[in-house]
Amino acid sequence: MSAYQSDEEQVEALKAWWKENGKATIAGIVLGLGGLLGWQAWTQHQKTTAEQASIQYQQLMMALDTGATASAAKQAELLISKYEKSSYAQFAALNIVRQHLKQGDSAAAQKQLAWVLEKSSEPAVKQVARLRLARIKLSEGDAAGAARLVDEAPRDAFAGEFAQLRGDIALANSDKEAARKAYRAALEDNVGNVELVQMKLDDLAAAVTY
Amino acid sequence: MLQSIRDKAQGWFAWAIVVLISVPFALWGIQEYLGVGAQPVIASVNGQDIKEREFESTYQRFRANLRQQLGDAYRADLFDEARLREDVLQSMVRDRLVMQAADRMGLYIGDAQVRGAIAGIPAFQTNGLFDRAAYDRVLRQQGFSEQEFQEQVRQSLLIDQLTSAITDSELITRHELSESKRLRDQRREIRYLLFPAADFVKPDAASADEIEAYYAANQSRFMLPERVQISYLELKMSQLSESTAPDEEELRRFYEDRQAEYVTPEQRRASHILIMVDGEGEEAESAARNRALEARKRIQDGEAFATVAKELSQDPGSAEQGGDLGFIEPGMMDLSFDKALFALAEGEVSAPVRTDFGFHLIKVTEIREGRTERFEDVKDSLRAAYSSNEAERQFFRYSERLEDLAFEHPDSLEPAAEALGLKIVTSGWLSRADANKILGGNRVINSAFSEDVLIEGNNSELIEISPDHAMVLRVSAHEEAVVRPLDQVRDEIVTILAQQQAAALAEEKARSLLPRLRQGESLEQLAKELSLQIEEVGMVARGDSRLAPAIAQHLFGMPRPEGDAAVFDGVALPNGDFALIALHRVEDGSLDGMDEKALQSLEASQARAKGRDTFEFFVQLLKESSEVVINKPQAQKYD
Repeated sequence: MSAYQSDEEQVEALKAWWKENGKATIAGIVLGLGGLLGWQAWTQHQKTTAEQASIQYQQLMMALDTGATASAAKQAELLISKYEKSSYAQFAALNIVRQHLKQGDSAAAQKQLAWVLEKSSEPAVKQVARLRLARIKLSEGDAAGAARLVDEAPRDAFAGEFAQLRGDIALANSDKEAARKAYRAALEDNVGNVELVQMKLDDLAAAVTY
Repeated sequence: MLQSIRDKAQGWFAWAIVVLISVPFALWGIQEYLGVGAQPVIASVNGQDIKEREFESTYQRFRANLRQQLGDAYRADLFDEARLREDVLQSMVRDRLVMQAADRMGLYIGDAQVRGAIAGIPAFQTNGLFDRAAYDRVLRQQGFSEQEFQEQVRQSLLIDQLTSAITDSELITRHELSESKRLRDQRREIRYLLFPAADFVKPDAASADEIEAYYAANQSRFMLPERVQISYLELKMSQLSESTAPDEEELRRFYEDRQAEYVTPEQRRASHILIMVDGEGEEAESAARNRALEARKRIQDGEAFATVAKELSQDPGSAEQGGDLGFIEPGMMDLSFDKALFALAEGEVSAPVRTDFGFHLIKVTEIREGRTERFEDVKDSLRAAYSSNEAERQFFRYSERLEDLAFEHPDSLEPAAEALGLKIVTSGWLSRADANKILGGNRVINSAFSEDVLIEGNNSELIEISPDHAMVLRVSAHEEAVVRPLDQVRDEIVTILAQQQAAALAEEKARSLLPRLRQGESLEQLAKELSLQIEEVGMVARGDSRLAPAIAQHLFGMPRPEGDAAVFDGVALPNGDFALIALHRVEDGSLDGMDEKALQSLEASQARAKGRDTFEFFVQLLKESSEVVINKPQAQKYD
């Protein structure tokens, strides 16, 4: 618009502009508002879902705490199927593993842990699941399967725990030398139960050669 | 002139003005972001700051709780302040790490869960029911606003959820259980010969040169520590005696200032039945509403509210109690719940009320009228509160004057003593280790040995021994640490050297016999030759009290015997004696004979311990992959 217009000219110009751009402007506003409302509805939905999963998880933990195992198993199953993508589903899976083991169903226990290992995007959760899965495999006599998992584990805060497990696997394979080495590494890498690992190491003391 | 502005308003001039005007607007508030004039940051976790104020209030709260827990056993010098600050900071950093992980993982705690948790905290309950007045009181004591507190509870619930997800899910496999039992309950059969160091002591074994050499090399063993004597002024609230009887008008003003403490709002005891909405949308809503209406119908037809609540309510906290929620004050519940509750008559059942949780049927079971305690009725307690309040203010004023005077005349306590009518007291000699010999303990000792007081010779700052007891001190005499002269310690050294030598001889003798044992000579033969007695201990468990700890520990680290041949080794004891050990047999522990119940409880206890370790590593891993910055000097600041 040039500098010196009369009022009529300005009104004319505005009308012309509106004729040209009016639809687009309205569409823009509608889209914008729609987006905003949609976004709000979406985050609200997210919150509601998270809150429901959270409450159900809380109830599951309560059931486990009071030893209501049958209802706990059902609740866990429901949580896992209904909120598959939620971390609460993974927590439910982690917490139901022990019940499976108590009932002697190692396959189900392993399935849950393998699922958490695959699904979780949090490295610390993955490590917890991986370590437990490998330990169960060893307990079931699958030393090779356990070793594969241990080899995959990244080296981090859990290094001492994985070293201990490497020692347990070596011992199961009757490789005392490798077991000693692994237990020593575990003690250096800040393993949790120092006392027990020291016992394991002491028990493998080699005879002095005179 | 206006015309010329209008002329130019179209060109560069207009732009210049617009720019000039917009700059302050654009920068308004930017200091918030740049940190100019903001409070110091104590630490940051992945870019999320822990600011000084937050740290200080957490720390103060932590100390207050400590004080409360310990009660009369609490003394200010019981804890090393710098250490305590460091611990509090570390736990705040840890909470941040866990919180951030919880957020990343999409964990969420809704308002309902927060309210439920708050109602369940025993400190907020009277006779097992939530008590609004207690809630307000505790919050005030802890210096929380209600919103802050709810946020705090939300965070701690979130942290709990993640913690228990990892900790409580820990397990011990059957293989691990059996291995740990095998090792822990392992028993070993031992006999040993003891070579007492006493048998090898020679009189006057140490030469004068050796004695001097030992003295020269071990000066720190013969130190007398640095000592000070302090003079101090003490201020006690109980000794301040200005009369503080208030007149009627003052007392009334005091009452009005504290009105809130004397007003109890109306409370209603409520029961409810919660019907959750399963899913979203109109259909789910009306289905839930209909279920609620059906429940209401049953009650109207004569069934007891409690029975229906037990059967249908989806609020696990209250269903068992027939829906009872205890006494509720306005503002505790969801707004619509509140509204319905306080509009009901006693005994009446509400229509379905929609809240974030779902639909509620509410029944009022009891009404407690609100109450205001009148001035006349509380006069006595007011008077007591008033005078203790006054005493505190007076103590505070005196403390401030004491501190000011001690600071203005840094090289003497006289002026302060004179102005405040206090007496200067002088202590006996004190070393750094003598905290238990002086009032105020470590705080006083630390202050007396601080650079400002000891080296510069100034008066100390005001030391708060307890909330009603304060002190200012200065050092009146000082002695450097000195080494005791050789003549005073010669006998000590002679004994030490003789013992060392005897221990070495005992070990040498015993070790020289090991090869003979290993080549097949028996322990009996050796014992006979040396006129020693064999210690026939037999089978021992780890840590058996019949064995000296050094022997027991060594025993369980010896190689296992192969076949019938015993394994021999030697170990020195802390007292200088030496033991020649024969390990004959190893017997492993086993799970045999344990029933399923015993096995499970063993598993549970080991899993609990391991779960805690696992969570430690979990947090450690979060820390490794995070950026944690700690600004030391601020965190360790003394107050």
